[in-house]
Amino acid sequence: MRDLPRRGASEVGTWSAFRPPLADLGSWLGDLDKLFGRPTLGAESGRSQVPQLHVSRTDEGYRVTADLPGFAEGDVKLDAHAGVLTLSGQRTTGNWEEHAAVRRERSSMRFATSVRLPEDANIDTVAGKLTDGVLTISISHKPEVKPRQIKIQAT
Amino acid sequence: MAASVQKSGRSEELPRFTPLVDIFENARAFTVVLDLPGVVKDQIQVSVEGGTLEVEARREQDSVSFHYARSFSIPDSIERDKISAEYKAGVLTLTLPKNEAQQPRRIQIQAA
Repeated sequence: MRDLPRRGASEVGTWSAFRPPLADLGSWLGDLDKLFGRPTLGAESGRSQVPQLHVSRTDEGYRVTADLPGFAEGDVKLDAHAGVLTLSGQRTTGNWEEHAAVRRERSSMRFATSVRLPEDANIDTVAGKLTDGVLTISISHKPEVKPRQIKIQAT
Repeated sequence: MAASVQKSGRSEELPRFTPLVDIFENARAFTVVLDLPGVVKDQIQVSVEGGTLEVEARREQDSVSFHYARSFSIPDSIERDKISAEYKAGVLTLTLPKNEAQQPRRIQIQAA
């Protein structure tokens, strides 16, 4: 068993402010026997890994983004129906059968999540793009309904 | 206002997040898999100093920036010069080969 280097320990301290410290984090290789002796699922495994949808307004309409690391295009399904956008999917985290798992925090992220679109969103124009593990969905505005001027003729 | 900059040159002002990780091992290597969505490849730094492997990445999205950062202590049996990294679809995969002496070897038995 190896002691954690001081520097490593302080690094761990920096980011543990965001999450509860995981037992033995940062000493995964120095402490293998212990890790193998108990479930290798990380503390994060209990946490839901449903991607959050972020909706923002653009000049052309709306943009919805979601973090989907490790997803291929075929792993994600996008549906727009009755003003509701539904995103669902599941990723494959690779074939590691020949390996021993030392730590597992990344889930298969099987999920389905929906967001109601604003009234003026044109669901016929929904387009999705997956880049570097981020899905960006663009939705244009409905064509503006211009008030029609009706000329009144004087008789 | 000047941002406080550490020796490594990174800004400490940015929020930091811990990427989720899977770690696997076989006879030849350890594999570390990290979720780093939305990062440009050039903004990922992997460094080894002493017994510590550090991964840092900067992400910029809608004019907001933050850091992903995570470090691991690694055993001496890893060939530091042969650590390789691949970034694909928002996932960083690091391969940490074990040095030859640690790998299982088949020993030929000779007939006398």
